[in-house]
Amino acid sequence: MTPTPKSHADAKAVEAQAVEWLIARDEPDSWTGEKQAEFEAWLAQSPAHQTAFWRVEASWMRTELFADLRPFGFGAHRAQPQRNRPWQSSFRIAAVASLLVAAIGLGATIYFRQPETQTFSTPIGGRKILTLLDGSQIELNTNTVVEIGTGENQRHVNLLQGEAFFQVHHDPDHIFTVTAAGHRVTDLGTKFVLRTHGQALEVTLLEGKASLEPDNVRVGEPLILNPGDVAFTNGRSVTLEKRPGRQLDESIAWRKGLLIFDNTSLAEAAAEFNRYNAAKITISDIDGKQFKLNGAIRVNDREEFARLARNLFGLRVEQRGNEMVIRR
Amino acid sequence: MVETPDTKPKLGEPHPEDAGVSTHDLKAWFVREVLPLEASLVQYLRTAWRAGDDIADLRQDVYVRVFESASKRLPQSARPFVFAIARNLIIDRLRRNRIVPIEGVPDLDAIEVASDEPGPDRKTIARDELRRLRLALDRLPPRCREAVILKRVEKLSRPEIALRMGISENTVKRHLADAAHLLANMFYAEQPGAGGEE
Repeated sequence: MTPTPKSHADAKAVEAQAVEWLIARDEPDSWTGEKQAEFEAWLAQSPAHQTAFWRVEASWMRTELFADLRPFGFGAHRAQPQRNRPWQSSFRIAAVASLLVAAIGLGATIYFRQPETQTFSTPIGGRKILTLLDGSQIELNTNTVVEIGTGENQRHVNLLQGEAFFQVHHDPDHIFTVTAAGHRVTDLGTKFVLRTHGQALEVTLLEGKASLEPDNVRVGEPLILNPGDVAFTNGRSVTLEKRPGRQLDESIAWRKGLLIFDNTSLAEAAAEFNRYNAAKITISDIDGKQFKLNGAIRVNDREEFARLARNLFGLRVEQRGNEMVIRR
Repeated sequence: MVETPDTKPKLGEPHPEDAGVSTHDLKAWFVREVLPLEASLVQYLRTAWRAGDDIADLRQDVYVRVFESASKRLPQSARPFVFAIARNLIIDRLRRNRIVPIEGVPDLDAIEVASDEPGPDRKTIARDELRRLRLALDRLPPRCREAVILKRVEKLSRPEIALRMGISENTVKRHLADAAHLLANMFYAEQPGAGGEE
């Protein structure tokens, strides 16, 4: 028998490749120009590739309509308050596994115990909400990097840079800890904000309770924080101050994309603004502390900031390249 | 004797007054007109091709010929065009393999595929798009469904989905790939009404 001429690869293999490209393209963070070019070359190789891709792509695009199904009862995928505590069983498995590993040898134990982490970050001006398996949420502010343990280690977070709001699903059996620059915050049923300043850490407690163990300056029991407490530690000292509710709201206004100024000096306001914008504002030749601002502004509205400086204080605003200079 | 519809240019011969169809237009046409015929096409291929070859390969070859032919000029009517190509493909293969006499290939009229009317499948899709989507979603394995909702509706990245579901990024990738295969088959390859529709 003459074999049927097969000008095209096996359809299953082609479809698998098409799917591979389809889901790779759905990850904007890792989809580079290089990959795009490689993908286009693959498409151009054969009409079999082209049509297989169109087919899986078309059905994939239709899944966006799933959002419309929600009113009919979808959305049960949202993390519910823990019912069956999935990590408990995985802890048990992990315990058994580590016994086995211990029997194999110390070297192997160290290898398997190496905690795996995932890193998440936001660019300047970015904001991102991460939801954990147990429903806890971490909201990253501008220019922030966190490292989160995988699997049962999810409740160990390392804030490497920036600022984040934590809303923790409390579980006394599985503590939630955040470390930042060596300082450690442990959840006791909590909403809190952590902001790093180099080696220093600022903890603002909004609801519930948390404990703080500063690096180097630990004295006996950890410091227990209550709502309204703002703790600041730089590894050499710890300070604690109580803030009224209104000021607490201000400290999380960024979650709504706002900066709130309350008798804030122009210099501080500009510094705060610069955290969110790659194009910086500088204050030249004037004592920024003379000018006080009150009110709210969108974190990325540079034009409005310039207008306020001009209209409220009669200052001049110059554009130097990317930089905005405020001067007399 | 097989007649190809008038609207179709002869294979391999560029239409003289036509520089060709843009990829964009070709794609739009393919998705809009050809894919919804897939269930009927697959059924036809199963009936006509009894040699036990993989229907998916055959379907791919039909699509390749559809692509090549339509890229010169889009046919006025997709249905007769696609099925004529399918029938020609099968006849070519049968001739080559000398398995079955050509008379054994079901006539297009006999299976009522040559009609210009959009098939009932297409109408059903248009009318019950949401219902079909929901049924398709219900039939995905639960973890697969969860991953696809987080990806397509909530627009989370793969690492974010891994975090939310407490699984590795590779497992997320596998769930998404499975979902893409399954959905394409549910939406196109299966007869509407198959797979547990009430």
